[in-house]
Amino acid sequence: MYSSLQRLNNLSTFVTTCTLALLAAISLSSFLLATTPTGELNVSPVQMYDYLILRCDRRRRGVRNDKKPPSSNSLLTLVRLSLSFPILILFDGRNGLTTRGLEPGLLSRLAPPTCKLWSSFDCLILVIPPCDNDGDDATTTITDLRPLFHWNTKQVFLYLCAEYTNGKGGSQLDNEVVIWDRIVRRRQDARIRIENGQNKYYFKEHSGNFRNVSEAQFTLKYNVMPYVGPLTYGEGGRTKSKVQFPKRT
Amino acid sequence: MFNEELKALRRMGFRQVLLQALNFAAVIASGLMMWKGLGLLTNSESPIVVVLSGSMEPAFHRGDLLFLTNPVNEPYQVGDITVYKIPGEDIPIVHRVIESHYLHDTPLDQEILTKGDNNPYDDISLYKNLKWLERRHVVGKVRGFLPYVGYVTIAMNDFPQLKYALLGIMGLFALIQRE
Repeated sequence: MYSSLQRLNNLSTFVTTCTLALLAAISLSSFLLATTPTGELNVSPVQMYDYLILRCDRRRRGVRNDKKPPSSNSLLTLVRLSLSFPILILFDGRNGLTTRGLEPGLLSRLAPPTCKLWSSFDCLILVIPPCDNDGDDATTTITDLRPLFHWNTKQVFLYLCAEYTNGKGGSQLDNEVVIWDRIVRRRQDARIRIENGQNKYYFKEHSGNFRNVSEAQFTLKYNVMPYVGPLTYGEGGRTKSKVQFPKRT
Repeated sequence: MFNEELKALRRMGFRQVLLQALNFAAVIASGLMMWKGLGLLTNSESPIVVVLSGSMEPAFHRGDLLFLTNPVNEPYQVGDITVYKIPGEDIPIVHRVIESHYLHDTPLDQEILTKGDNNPYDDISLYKNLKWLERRHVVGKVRGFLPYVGYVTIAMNDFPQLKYALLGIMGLFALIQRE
């Protein structure tokens, strides 16, 4: 009759076919269960800061968090380096960028009067303003991503990006930059409300400064990552009107 | 164990052996055709890749299989998960696009910056001499995902004896099968 090898062959074929059919069905369910979430986005640019990085990197960015306080020796080294090629120099040794660390008074104390190159680099700090109605759940602005969480959702990757252009006509450069992101792994964490938020990543312009940029449109986008199957993308919210970058004074 | 098979092989004669070898070659060729055909369909040189590092956790772990496409006429959007290779390195890196800059008239000439979800900093230190990643460095963007299946490839790379053993057994079976 059948040898054991044949039986094993048949069995393994059957198991493989069933597993593949199951995986295909789970993948297809992603398309059927896809829904759109709701949300509103308000962004306002607050301040433009010049950057003075203490621990410099030969590449354009490559920020390292240096816990040592600034010393005059290190500043001198940086000044020499900055004169040979432009670098963005990060001042704040703490994690990330805080408005406290970049008080204009503090910056002017550290900046040597002869070094002018650092002033050509601008960086933007964006703060998402607080909601107007505190504590009133019915009317507060919340991005609700719960419809995205179905049985095939492993995580949702949220990211806030700024779209703007630089230049006009033939040399118009379209830019899209992610300034904040968040990984949402559970349905309970899917209602996003950010007050006084800041950009997580340094918002640096491609050309080095924000002098010629247009107004920006901020969009909150999401990426649903499944357990099995296709990845889906979508937009959770968009600023209703374009946001101007403040002019330098 | 192989006595009957060896006797059957001697009985078959030269022509039959050649025919078996031809069948074997046909199987290999059709496998290669399917792979290359898939590459043409997706416009990507390597449409199926295995995740090698943990820099995209918790979404992608080491050993997961990714299906890629390389869209012909649209630029990569911010948020796309791309697989790219730095010239000079042969390890494909799976990271997400966080910045994209292109001239309005030539959207395919874009400059990209990527970052792994699990990494605190962007990829500029991985780019070696490049300031921005260009489209020609990108193998494709991730469209589909299959967990754990790629572990076989990682195991075969870490233990090359396993690879040779598997190939040897498959070759043996292909030659002595009678159908």
